[in-house]
Amino acid sequence: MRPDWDNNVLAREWELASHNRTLKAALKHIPLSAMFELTPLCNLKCKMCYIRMSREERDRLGRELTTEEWLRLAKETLSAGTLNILLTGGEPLLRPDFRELYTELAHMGFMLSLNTNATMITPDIADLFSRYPPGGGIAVTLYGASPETYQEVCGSADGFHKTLEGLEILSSLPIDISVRSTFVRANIREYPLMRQIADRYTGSYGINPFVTKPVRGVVRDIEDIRMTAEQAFMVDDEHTDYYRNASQDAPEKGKTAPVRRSKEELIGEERMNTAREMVEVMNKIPPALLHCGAAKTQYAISWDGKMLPCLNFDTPCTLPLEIGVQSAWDRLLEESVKIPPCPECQDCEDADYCMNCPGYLQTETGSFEKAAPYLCSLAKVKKQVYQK
Amino acid sequence: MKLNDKFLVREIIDENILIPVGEGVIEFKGLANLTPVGAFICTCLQTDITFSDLIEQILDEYEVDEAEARTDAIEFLDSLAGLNAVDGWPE
Repeated sequence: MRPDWDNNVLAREWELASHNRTLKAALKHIPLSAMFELTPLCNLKCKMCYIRMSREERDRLGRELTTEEWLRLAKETLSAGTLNILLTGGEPLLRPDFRELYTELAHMGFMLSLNTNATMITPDIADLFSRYPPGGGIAVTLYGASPETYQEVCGSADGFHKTLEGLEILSSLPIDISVRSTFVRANIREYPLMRQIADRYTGSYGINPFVTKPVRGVVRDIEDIRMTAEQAFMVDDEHTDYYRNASQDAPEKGKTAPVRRSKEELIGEERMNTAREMVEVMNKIPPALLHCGAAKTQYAISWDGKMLPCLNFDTPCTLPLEIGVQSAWDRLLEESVKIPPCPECQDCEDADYCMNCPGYLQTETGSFEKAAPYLCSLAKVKKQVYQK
Repeated sequence: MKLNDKFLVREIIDENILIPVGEGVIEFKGLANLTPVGAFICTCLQTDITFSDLIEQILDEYEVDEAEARTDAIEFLDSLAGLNAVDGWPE
C-alpha cells in the first residue's frame, strides 16, 4: 500500500472505481450486478416480508432451481460480464445445498454478498465464511430488540437471541457486516435499542421505514402493519440526524439542531456530484421509466428461475434457463422499455418527491398505470418536510 | 513462478481486473485494475514461467528496452507477491 494512503482515501478510490465501472456498464448495457433469490422460504415469518412463503405456497407456485441450474446460470452470467452477485431469499441459508453452491460461486470470480437473518449461523457456516469470506460483505436483518418484538413481528421469540448469536459469530470473522432493519408499527418503539445493537457490530446500519406490498404470488395484508407516511419520515429523520451527529464532521456532537440538512451537507459535495452524475446517466439510458440500474446494469433471478429488472417486479420477466442468460438479459431490456407510464403520476406535482418506481406501482396496485395511494402519501409528506 | 489459484484475471467492461477467489478474499478484500502490461504479465503467469522467460515474452510483445522491462516487471511481481497472488516469486 502507498504510505500516504489512509483507509478513507482507499475507500474513496474504491467507491469511485465502482461508480465508474457502473457508469460504463450502463452505457454498454452490461449486466454487472445480479441478485440470486435462492429461495422464498424463511425460518422467520415476518409480517412485512414481500416474498416469504410456506413450502406449500412455494410448491403451488413453482419449484426452486436445483444446485446445477444455479451453477449453470452463474457460469453464463460470468460470460455475460456479471461481477457482483447478491445471494438473497427468503433465508438463503435454508437451502440444504447452500454450502456447495456458495463454495462453487466463491471460486468462480464474483464479488459475492449475502442477505441473511443470521439465525442459522452454525459453526459449519462460520467455517465456510471464514475460509471464503464474501468480498461484498453480509447484510444481517434485525427486526426488534427483544424476544417479545421478534415474536410479534417475525413469529419467533427465539429469533431475537439467535440473531444476536449469529451477529456475534459473524463479527468474529474477517467479513464486512452491515445491519438492516425494516420498520413497521410493531417494532418502531424499539428503534433506539435496535440502533444500539447494530452499533455494537457495524458502522453500517441501514433502515427501511417504507414497506410496499408483497410480490409474485405472495398474498399478505400489510395495510394495518406498515406505518403512516408521517411516522415513516419521522423515524427516517431521527436515523439520519443520529448518524450525522455521531459522525466526525458534526460541528458539536449531539448538539446539532434537529433540522433536515441538504444531501450535500450529509454526504459531501463530491459524493453528491458522483451521485448526480449516476442519476443523469441512468435517466438517459432506456428503459427511461426505471430510474435506477434495473435492466441497465443489474437484474435479479427469482427463486423459480425468472430474470427480472429487480425483485420488486412481477413482470416483465424472461427465462434464462430456456434462452440463456445473455439472451434473457437482452430481451429483458426489450420488454422493460414497453412498461407503460402511469398517466396520473406523469402529471403529478409531487413527482419530484415520489419513489416513482413502476415496480412499486405494480406491487401496490397490480398495474403500472395506476397511482398508488401509499406512494402518493409518502411523496406528499416528503415534499412538506423538504419545503420546510 | 505462477499466479496461484487464489486470484483470477477477468475482463469486465474492457478492463482487466485481478479478483480474489475463495481464500484469496482473506488476503485481499477488493479488486485491482490492471494496466494492459499488468494483464499481459498475469496471462503469462497462468502457467509456470521463469523470470527470464517472462522478460523474453514482454520484449516480444512490447517495444521496451530490457532494463526497463526488468525493473517494471520486478515492481509488478513484488506487488503481486504482496497480495500472496503469485507462487515462486522471488525466484
